[in-house]
Amino acid sequence: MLVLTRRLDEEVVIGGEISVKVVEIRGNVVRLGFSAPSDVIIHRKEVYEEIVRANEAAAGISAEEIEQLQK
Amino acid sequence: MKIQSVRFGEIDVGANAVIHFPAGIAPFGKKLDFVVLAGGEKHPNSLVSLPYQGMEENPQAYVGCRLEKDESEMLGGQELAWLQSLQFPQLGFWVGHAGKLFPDRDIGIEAHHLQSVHIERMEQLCIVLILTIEAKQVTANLLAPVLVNTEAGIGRQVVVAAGVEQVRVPVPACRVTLQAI
Repeated sequence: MLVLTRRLDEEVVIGGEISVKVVEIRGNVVRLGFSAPSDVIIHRKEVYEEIVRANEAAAGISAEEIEQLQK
Repeated sequence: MKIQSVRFGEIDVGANAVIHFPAGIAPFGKKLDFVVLAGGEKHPNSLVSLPYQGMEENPQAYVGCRLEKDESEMLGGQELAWLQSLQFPQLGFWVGHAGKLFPDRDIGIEAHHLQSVHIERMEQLCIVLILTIEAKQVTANLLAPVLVNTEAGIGRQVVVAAGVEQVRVPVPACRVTLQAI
């Protein structure tokens, strides 16, 4: 994992197209602002994992199984 | 154009029926295309009987922006439809019209969600919920509804205020019945 230190209002650029900015620091809570192109999804990690689980359950197939079938 | 669906076989759909999802549907990849397949006259508006495995008749593809109606009717007036992936014939989702399945519930769509699919007028918008069908229960994902700009043919699964909604909310039984085959 890459670890960088930023202060309030400073930014990080990812892949040349995604940027993350520290917009507020309050105690031990950090608020982050994101800019990204439309093909990138950005979610809190636990929310992302819940959505992946729900989508795979709904589809009745996992992303891994689909990948296997393409071979 | 002909598309392949593991569930429904080969289906003819209009090229303008394709909905592009730039961010895809997690975790199946980005830049995915889908079409909506909805049942024909056999499914009345208020109650949809849904064969659990396989449909004998080929569903029709509806293009909401081509229908002469006041508001987007991407599902052709139906409550449920099948969202078929073009890239992966094995991939598809049962989806439900959010407003018809949960008429008294605020879905929690915000301005930035609408902007993400370039909605300028509400008639362009259709909101569907991804359904999970298990045993004899149908549940809807209210945490991450799917927004479709039917005019532009753009779709996106968005997340509403996390912590309030859930991914498996039972769909009221009176609205959907299942026929096990």
